[in-house]
Amino acid sequence: MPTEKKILIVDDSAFMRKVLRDIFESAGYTSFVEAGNGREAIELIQSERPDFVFLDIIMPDLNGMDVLKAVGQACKIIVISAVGQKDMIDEARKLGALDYVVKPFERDQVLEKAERYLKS
Amino acid sequence: MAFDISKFKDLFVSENETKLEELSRDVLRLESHPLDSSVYEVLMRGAHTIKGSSATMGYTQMAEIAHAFEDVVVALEKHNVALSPQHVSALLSGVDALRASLAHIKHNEVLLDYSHVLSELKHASQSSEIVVPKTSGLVYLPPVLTPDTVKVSTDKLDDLMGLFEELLMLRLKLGAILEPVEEVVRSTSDSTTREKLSFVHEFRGLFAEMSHVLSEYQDALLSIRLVTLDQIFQQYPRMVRDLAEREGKHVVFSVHGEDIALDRTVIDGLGGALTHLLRNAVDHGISSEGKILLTAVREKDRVRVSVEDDGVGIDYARVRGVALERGVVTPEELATLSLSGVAELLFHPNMTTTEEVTDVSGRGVGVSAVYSFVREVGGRIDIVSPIPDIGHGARFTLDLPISLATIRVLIVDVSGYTFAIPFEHIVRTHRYTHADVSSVAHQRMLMADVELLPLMSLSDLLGLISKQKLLSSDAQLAVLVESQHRTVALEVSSVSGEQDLLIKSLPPLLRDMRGFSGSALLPDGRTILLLDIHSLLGTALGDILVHDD
Repeated sequence: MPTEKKILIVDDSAFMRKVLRDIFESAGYTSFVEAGNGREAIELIQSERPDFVFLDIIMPDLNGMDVLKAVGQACKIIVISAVGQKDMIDEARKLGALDYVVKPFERDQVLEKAERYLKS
Repeated sequence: MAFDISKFKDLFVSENETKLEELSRDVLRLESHPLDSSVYEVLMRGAHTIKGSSATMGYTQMAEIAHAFEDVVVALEKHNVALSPQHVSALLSGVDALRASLAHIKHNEVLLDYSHVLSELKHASQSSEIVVPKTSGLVYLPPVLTPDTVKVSTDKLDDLMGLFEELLMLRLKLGAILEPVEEVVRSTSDSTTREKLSFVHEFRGLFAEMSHVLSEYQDALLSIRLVTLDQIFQQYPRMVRDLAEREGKHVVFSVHGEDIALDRTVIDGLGGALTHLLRNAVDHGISSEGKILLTAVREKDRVRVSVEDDGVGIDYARVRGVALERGVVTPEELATLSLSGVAELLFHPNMTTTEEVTDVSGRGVGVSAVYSFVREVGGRIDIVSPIPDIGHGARFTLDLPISLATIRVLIVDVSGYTFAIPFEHIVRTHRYTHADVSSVAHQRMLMADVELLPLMSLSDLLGLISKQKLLSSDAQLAVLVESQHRTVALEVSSVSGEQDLLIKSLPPLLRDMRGFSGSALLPDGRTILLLDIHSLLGTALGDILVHDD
């Protein structure tokens, strides 16, 4: 298990960040950075060089799309979206997102996607 | 593999409590700023976050409500539908349902069915003309908020304050012992005695140092008890809106000065008092549409909080009539009252028990509670109606101390009784003889240096029965006091010094007496009353007004 991989979790809800982090911790990941908005996310992507980013789209102070526009090609990003945002997901993929998960997500679905893209 | 989400419940609840508070505020902003696109964005984002968290926790109904809420905002933003009060109501119902659900979750209760709210929201996102399901006319009255900036239990803070007050009393007592001893040292000519008592000087030094530390301690203690007004102010936009809607009135409500901080004890009572005043402004001040303004202004150690409406104003004739009818005042007393004195009658408990007063005179529901709160914290109420600038409307101003601490007073004796006068009202003391006193239109006037001032007997003002005969000596003493830019000379028997006293509320038996605003304990253990100069002068100057007629 790739426990040494560093994951950046970006969501404006502390609750959602905690849930995601817990999911990864339960699978043996130990290295995390968290951001509560797009601006922090861009800074952390540049300074912390995470192996993988879980990115919420709707956030204050630069949203997920802004993050993708800035650094979408530079790292592995999976976007988190809610039901009924097909257009947004398409746009996110154009901007470099590898994949997406839809809230409410399943633990296994999150882990499976993370592991698939971490290997590649 | 399923994983246990329930361990995140606390975080889920606390995060969304905050988000819903913001959401509720932003809905009201939507109503006042319908063209501000940032409001729509903030609302969508808020609802979206709640939707995601709720879905993740498995609270499907909450997620659906948040989703429907989001749809309404999207429709409004895209101008698919025009914003109407019903849209705002639907959004607020959504917030309420989410809030209620969250409360049930917090207390592990069964979640109720809010499908009616869901359909109200769904309907609102499709139509400009929505029919609001008729509710029972219930108005959202927020619970009294316990400020959370102070993280220790408030009981403990009160204990701490109580202990501190005891320390202050001990300091006063020590000072009272020290003074006569110092007097002995000063007056003795015997060098041996003086040497033996040399420690007294050192004692005074330590005493002064202790006093200094105590006063810093007091500042620190008071500052941790301060909470900002927004903790109570934030509930009012919603309340005023609901009340106005129930009455079918259009009210523009604005709030200023919510960043001012006051002692927790003062804030606690203020919340209820303002609810009464705002309710009155909506129910009786505004006839069909108008403005209500809630303002707080800080002036030195006091805060003036006012509720102002631009409605019809107080019907003084009606208030006079009802006051007489209810036996609140005698015709003689009524004749002596100034306009503000008449307005103050509104706060009399007997004025407020009758429906008639509410409906006809226009004011009065439960406002006597406001009066007792203000008296309890050593404040006062000023009523202005009509408001001079606009010629109508009413302004109720609560003048409150920032904290319930010590105040500097002058101790005076009058006819064998002892009272304290707050230093803020004192201009100076003045010795005079009978020759300085003249009479103008039944009012005794004192020529104090170059000023001609009304001279009043404090004994008469308070209706005291003299315990001792006034000395008919030629030398007389007056304390010149000022309130509301008017100076009056108060006749006293003697002045026995200045003190810093801890002011407490009046004993219950004395609460309804005019002329006193609090009580205090003297170092020798006696309780003395603090004179309410503002109301005493109000009554007295009312007298002058009538005599002039």
